[in-house]
Amino acid sequence: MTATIALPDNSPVDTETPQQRAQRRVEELRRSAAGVLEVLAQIYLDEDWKYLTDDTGMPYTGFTSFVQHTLGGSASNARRYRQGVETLVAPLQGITAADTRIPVTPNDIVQLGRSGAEAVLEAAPSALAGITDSAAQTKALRGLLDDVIAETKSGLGQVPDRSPIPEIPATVPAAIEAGSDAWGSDPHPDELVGDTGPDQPVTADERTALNDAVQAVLALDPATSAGEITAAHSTRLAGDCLSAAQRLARIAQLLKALR
Amino acid sequence: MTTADELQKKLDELAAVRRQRDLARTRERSAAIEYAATPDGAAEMFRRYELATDPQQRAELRDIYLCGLAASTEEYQTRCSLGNDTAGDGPVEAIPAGDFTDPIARALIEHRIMGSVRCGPSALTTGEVAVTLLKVLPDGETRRRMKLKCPTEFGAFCDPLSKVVTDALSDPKTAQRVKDFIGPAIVNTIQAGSPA
Repeated sequence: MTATIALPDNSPVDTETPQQRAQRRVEELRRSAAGVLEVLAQIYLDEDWKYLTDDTGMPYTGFTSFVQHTLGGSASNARRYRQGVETLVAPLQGITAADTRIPVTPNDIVQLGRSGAEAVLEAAPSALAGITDSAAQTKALRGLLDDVIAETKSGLGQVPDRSPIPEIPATVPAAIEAGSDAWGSDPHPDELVGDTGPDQPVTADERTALNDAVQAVLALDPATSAGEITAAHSTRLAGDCLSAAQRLARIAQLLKALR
Repeated sequence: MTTADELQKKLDELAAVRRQRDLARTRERSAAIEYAATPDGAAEMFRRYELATDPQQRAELRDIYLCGLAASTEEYQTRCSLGNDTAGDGPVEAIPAGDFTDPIARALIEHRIMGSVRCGPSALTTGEVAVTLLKVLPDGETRRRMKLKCPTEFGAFCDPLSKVVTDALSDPKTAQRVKDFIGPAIVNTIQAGSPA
């Protein structure tokens, strides 16, 4: 018995087996999932979201809020999309042919994390070397994504022979007790340059942006400088001076803490 | 397969393992920097740095800590540009324990009490900053936190942790909370050192 069913003209349905149909649909599904990320990457790169408003007519505060509003779902889901777009899809679009599908799924983004995404980007140029066909580029990228995900999961080499990050110590080591104290009393007070005023010549290896700026500030006489400023500019400049003082104090604090 | 082929195969395998090891190191470092950009992470990384003695490790920890601070500043600037910065927001920074000969600083180190501060433009207008005390319990996993407001001058916060805790203990508004947080051993150390 046969029945007439209306089918789209280009439908391959009449020639495919149920297995082939299942394969075709899962491929379509993959393409749609990756397609969302690809379109988001274009919106992200061109900052299209800045020209759009939400239901209440308010502009979006950022790309993440645009994604959350447009795709629905939680804020963390929107952040995941943003992370995928920023760290994988947009950079990969930049190094592939214009019509190459970027086969990244939201699940890949989670499994890779930021470091995995970095590893994919690092290896991508060599994985794509010599491949110009866009379908082959997509296949090579999928292979690379699977490799890096497998590597992340395998844990091989995840315990380096000497980790740079030790346990948080709970005792002061004897070497520090002996006087090489980083914060309190200065172990080498004689080495401190007592007068670093503008008259002191700055040697070539001390010439940094910071040193130049500090020397310029130290060369100023407060009363003369204030006298040169008109009342109209004084309020804004007073604020800038305070911000600069805060910035200098923070640098001083860091230099002292990290010497 | 000739001996030369076998040797080449082994060398290729070795190279692949080295690549994976280097990748793992890079990842561990990136993860440490990401963590150092958070208040907990900055405080912990700085405590490791200030007590490290091996010059190479000191340099590594210093680098990770500074990269974390830079990432935190970048995150703060992004929050500002998106209008998402909160009251008292600013880049994060660790608070040094204090003079290592000071019994209070030593007690804080012994009990793994650390501190971080967010110091932004509001410090200039309000004259205070948000300090977070962090305590890592002996299991090495559980973390307790406590927030304090501390006074600043010119928007800069330069006090060591020993002073932060001592000041908070002598302020009736915060004394009990700080007592509960730091525990009786450190309270006794501080009270033994303070003038009667």
